[in-house]
Amino acid sequence: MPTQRAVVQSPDGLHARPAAALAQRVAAAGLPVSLARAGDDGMPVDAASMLAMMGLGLSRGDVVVLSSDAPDSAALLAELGALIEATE
Amino acid sequence: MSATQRDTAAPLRGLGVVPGLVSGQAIRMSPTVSEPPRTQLPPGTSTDPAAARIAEAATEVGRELSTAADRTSGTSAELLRTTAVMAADPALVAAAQALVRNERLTPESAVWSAGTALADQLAGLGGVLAERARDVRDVRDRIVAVLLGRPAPGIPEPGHPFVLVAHDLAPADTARLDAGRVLALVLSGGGATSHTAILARALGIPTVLGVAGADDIPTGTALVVDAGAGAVHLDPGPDLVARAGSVTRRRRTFSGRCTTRDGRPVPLLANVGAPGDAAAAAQAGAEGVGLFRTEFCFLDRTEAPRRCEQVASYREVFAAFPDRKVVVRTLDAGADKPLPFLGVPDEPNPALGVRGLRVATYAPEILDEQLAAIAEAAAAERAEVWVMAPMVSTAAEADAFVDRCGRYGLTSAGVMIEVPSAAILSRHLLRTATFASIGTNDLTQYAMAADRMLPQLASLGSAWQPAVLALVAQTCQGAAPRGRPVGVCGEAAADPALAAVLVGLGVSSLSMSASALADVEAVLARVDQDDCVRLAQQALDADGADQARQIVRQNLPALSELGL
Repeated sequence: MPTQRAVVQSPDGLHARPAAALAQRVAAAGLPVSLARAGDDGMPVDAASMLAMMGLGLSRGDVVVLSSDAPDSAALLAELGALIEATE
Repeated sequence: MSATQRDTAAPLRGLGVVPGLVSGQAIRMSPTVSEPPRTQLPPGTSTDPAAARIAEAATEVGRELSTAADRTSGTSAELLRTTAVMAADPALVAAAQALVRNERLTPESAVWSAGTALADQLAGLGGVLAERARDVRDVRDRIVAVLLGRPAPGIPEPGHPFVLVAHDLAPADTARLDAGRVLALVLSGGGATSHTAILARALGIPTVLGVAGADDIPTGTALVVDAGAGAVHLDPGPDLVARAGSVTRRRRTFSGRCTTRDGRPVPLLANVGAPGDAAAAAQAGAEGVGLFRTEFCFLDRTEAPRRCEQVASYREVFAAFPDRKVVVRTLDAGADKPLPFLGVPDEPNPALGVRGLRVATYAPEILDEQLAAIAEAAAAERAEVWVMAPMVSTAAEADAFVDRCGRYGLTSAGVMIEVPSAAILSRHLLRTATFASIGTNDLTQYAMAADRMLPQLASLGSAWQPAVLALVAQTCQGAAPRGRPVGVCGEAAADPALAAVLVGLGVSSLSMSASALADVEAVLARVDQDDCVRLAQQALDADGADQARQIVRQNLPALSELGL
């Protein structure tokens, strides 16, 4: 199963604007993608939901893991990782 | 009351904060959505159609918000687009649908519960995310309104320009204000320096606040709003409508160089609150920046911004004004605008506490870092950079600030005049400070002991108060012997009538929202310096703010000629 790690870079964490951008990209791609805080207890949430991702309360510097059941999702996950690591 | 009686009826009165004479139809803000009764679907009915309606309603709200976003630009558009994505959020829809399927709740009740739970969850996270809880509730209300077949809460969309009548506007609503569709704003609440007033000024929408009786104006009423005079005429006669039509706001443009009729230059500068505003201000012809607020660099942060971030932001503003003056105000925060990294404790009375320059006692390194960043940005650009400190009370504070600026090579170092003590003894402060800039909002609040956010104190909290004008005069008198320039950067400078008075009191430059530049120039170009001095004397001799404004308006015919 393809996965991708990324570090939240926005000074305000994964707030509304970056979460909305991420959710829109996932919805447009139409592939199932989940996002979890890295670590043992990270509960994965639907990456098409900005509210679910905001609910994780991710701050700058937090590491997240993106994953997808879809075998052809590696390029999408890389793109999403880059979005998370954008500084805006 | 019959229409004929109404023709002659006295207009409703309020505080005009953005002048303009317009005629139009009143449309009230749509009512807010309240919690629907927690009811269940009738026994035996299938839950599938109910669940499907939730998805449809959410999609519809998302689409409406996207359309609204396309009609606007900048920050408002971005905010609306983000909210549109939130409306169609699968987590919100799925949670509401689960409540329909598992608890047989009606769609509206399910959306209310699910939206409230998500909003509360965000609110519990604190910080920037907590602020979005309001947007989740807004989205929730919009979906519930669609499900109930009610108009969307907030600013209505009648399909033609209208006069918006409301108690006050929530920040989420002000972001949706569009000067193309809202001809004027009539509010029963609101203060002259409230966020609504500030945004209306930025957009140039004629606005009257604190209008007693505005809550009783029904949607559809014909109105003439004479915002400069603070008057709202209900069912106006044909003469009044014709007069409003004849001065229909020609979109004036600023020439880029303001002089009085007899040729005295009065530079008109712009207030800038974020780097993005600077290009727009330059495009509007502003002769420089009279107030560059630097708080944007520091807000919503848990630690002080790094110097390189500050330098980049400041350079963006300086670059928009090569060879022009840009007055940078150092960080204006404290107990009233708390920043976690300043370490200022909570205070019982933050307006009188550690704020503005006083914060430098707690956190001198933040001021040093900021001055270093300003100096570095100034060296890299061609703007003529001046620096000033907020909330200066004594000559000793002014001396220390000027000295500190000098260490970074910043030689044009001045003071804001916001505290009456600084106005009274400006001659002492201006021994070392090279200029003064009067912040009329705070100066009025401190001189009149009136909280500027309280609508019931609107008249006391007006910069038209003769005592406030006397403090402006005293500041200018103290500055004159040393030839120190005195500017005004408070909202008073954007009022064309008051602008003439300020010039008469000895103020040499005015700084305002870029949208006010053209109207202020239009009035100043129609008066001589002597007229300004005469108007200033009449205002100083008045018994109160309302009388001062009335006398000056009567003696300044240019205002009605211009529809201001």
